Amino acid sequence: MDIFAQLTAEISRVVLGKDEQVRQALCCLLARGHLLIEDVPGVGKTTLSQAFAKVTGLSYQRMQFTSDLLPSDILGVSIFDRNSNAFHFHAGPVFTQFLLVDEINRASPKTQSALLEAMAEKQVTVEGETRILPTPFFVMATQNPWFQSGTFPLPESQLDRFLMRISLGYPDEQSERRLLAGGDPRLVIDELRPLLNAEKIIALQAMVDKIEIRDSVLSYVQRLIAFTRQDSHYAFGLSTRAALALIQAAKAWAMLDGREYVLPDDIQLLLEPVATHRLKPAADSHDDGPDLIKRLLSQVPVVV
Amino acid sequence: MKASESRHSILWLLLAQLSAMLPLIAVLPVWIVAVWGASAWWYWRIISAGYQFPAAPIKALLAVAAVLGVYLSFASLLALEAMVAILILALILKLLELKTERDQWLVLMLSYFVIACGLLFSQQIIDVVLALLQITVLLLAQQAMNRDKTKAVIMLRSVGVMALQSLPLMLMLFVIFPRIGPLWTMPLPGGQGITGMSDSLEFGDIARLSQSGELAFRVRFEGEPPSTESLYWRGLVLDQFDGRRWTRNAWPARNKIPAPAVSAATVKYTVTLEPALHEWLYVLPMGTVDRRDVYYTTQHQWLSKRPINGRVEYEVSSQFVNGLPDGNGDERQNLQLAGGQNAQARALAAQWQENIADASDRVAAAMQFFESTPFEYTLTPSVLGPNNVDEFLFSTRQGYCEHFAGSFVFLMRAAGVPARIVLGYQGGEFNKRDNYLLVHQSDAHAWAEVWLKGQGWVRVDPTATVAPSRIRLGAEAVLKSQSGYLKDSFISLRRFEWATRLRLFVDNINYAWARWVLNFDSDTQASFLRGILGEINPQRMFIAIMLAGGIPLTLVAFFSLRLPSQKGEDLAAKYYLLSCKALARRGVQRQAGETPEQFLARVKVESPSWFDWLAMQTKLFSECSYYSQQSEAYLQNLQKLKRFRRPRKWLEQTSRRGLER
Repeated sequence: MDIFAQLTAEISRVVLGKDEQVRQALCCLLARGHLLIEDVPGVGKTTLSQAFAKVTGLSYQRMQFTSDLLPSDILGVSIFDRNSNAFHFHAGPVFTQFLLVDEINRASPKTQSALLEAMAEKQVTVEGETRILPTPFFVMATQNPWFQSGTFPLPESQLDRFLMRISLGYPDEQSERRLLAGGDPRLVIDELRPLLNAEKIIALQAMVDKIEIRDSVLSYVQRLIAFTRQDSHYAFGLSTRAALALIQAAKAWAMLDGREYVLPDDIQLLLEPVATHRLKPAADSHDDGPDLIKRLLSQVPVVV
Repeated sequence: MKASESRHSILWLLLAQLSAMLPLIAVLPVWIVAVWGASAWWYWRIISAGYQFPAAPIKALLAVAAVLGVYLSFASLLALEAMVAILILALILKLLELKTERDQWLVLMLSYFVIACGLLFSQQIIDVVLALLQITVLLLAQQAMNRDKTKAVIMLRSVGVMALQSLPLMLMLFVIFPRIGPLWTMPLPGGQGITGMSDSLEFGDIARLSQSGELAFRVRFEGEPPSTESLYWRGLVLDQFDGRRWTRNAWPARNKIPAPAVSAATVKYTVTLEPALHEWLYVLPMGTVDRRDVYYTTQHQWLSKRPINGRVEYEVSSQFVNGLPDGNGDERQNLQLAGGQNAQARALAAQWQENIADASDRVAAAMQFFESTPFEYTLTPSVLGPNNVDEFLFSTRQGYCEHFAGSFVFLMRAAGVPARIVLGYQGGEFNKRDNYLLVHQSDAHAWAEVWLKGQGWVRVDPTATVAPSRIRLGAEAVLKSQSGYLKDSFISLRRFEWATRLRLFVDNINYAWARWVLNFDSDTQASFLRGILGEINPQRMFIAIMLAGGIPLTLVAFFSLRLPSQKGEDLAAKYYLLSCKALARRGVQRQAGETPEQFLARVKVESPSWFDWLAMQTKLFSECSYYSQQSEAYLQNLQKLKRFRRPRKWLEQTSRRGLER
């Protein structure tokens, strides 16, 4: 059994029936992206992220975002040390390899943007001094759907910084029954073995870059983004960064599949997690996210 | 380049070099092959076994030795053969300093030049075919230098395509490229080897010449050709006798007179002369030659202003006349007889001079003498001593045409009748396939002309009285049975009917080649261009070049501009989509947004009978479109994808395989 299958198997001891999402999270990590999990409370978002952090063997920090959180609470702050008569920087929780941000949309936009900058640049600037974040740096954020109360929805530009947005959904009947019967899954998390470490993940990320993607697939990606820009059902088209993200994710996905090249199937499979949060239906359209993706998949020819 | 690949191209290079020089072995000393073998072996050891390149002194020594060897073989360095030999030796010894790719190119380009040199010696169509083969080998070597190790067949294909592409340009250059006269002339090779007529005559010369089957010239008549008996191809006049040799007196021979006016009742024909070293043209008397670089002399010969060097073609209009006018025929030159030999003949002639008053009666008496004496017409007459005319006329009585003509002229001069010898050819062989006349060296002939007051120079052919069939049927008919006839020529196969037909067929091709290609000189070119353009002026030439060169170039530009878009067009996708279309006609429609794998999965469920075929096509397409691009595997996959783009083909093949099983 290869390492990815082992990983998935290990995590599914805690998160039952969510193999697909586990795989997507792994793909996200290997593609050097960040993951946004959006769902109602209580379906296992936090459990998944904890299990994931444990199994990947990365240093782990968890933050609960609230409306009164300040940027310095994330990034760190310099405090005057009386003994040495100087300011000393106290690193915030962002200085870690695996950062779990719970309920990111509860924080104020100012705080959100502080984090999002760190995610994009992989470095933070505090009081005029630039500090490099550890590598790998992987953020897994959860948020409640925007229709829930007390939220500041992330603007499009910031959503764009997440490679993927996935949702977990309610577990199927069997898995739920097993969950209910099994007692508190959090107890099991402590038993999980770390199967990877930082070096291995960096090596795997480098391998992703070597996955081949041929012109025929690239032109399919171009057709996809061109379609969103021309079709009247979309408020605005996908950005070039979105296309880059799609390709990077597809490469990682191909590697997870044990292939050295990208198939259009990879693109199709990843289109929903990668593109849904970057698309918006046109004002006069009654489509929602999944409809927009379905439209893309069915209308854009794979082979021309 | 990897070592094995460079070795592959080196092998090709050596092969090209060998093939370029091999046909020249016929004219070169054989030891050159040994030099090549040694150099090639040495070079091979250098690249494969780490031998050293020779030091500069050794190379210098080899070069000097090579030049010395050439000098010893040819006794001269300035003959064409010697120069070619030096070129080839330089090419061979270059192997010993073949270090960079540039050197390899030099060797290849020089090899092309050597092939061109080969054509200096002979330009028959067979030589051209051979040269084309050699060029093919060189082109293959050139390919091998520029690409990875590839099968010869594949290289041959691309060489062929490129050669075909360059063909229009070649034709255009052939037609419009200006024919520049030679900047210098080389003594043409073969002057010694090829038999031909010389400008002096001794008994036995023509007999020797007749043993050669070489072609002298070809003639194409306009309209009905005259009968063989009347075909006296008059070449040059010999009027100087030194007791043994007939030569021509240089001065009157070159006195220019205006060309004779020929009346309407003429025979028109075109003569294509094979390369020979002389200045006279063969013409049926009396004729005018339609050329600017020739002139007519008092002896009614056509001479070329420059020595004829190479193949010449000229048009003649001739009118058969009984006497060639000459007011001064009775001058001493034409009665001159050297020394006091041949007393017997002189006595006989003196008798005629005494008894017969009229000159034409003396001629008749001489002819009567030749008719009544039992002469033998033979190719291998006995060798004659100092009194050659006497010996021939009164004791051996064996002779060829020059014996008869020579002794006849001697008798006539001794009898006071101005007479001279004419050299030329008589008769010829008709190639019925293309209706032209072939005149061989074996048709060489000598006859006499006597000057009669009021008539001028009248042709008298004593051979005709002795061996009438020689004139009526040609030399071949008379001499076929004689052992010496054509003994040193492969056309001794003439006695077989099929061989003659084959020979005439080959000559047909050669004649066409000579007429349309080799003889395409500046005159022909000008008249050809005039035929197309109406007149030759810069504007029209410019338009012609634009049309002839512009159209091919536009086509090339069109295709090369088209190529990128063709390349951009994904052929694999094209064939895959054709496959899908074929399946759609059979009721399974692929959705645009379906990936090949998804479609395949659906087909597996919906119409499993097509699954195997589609699985193969999908796999091929995926390999072509999505996997890494390996050039050869890609092409193979693409071919297969194309071949089976319709399921019918695949079904046929599988069912056949099933049956075989």
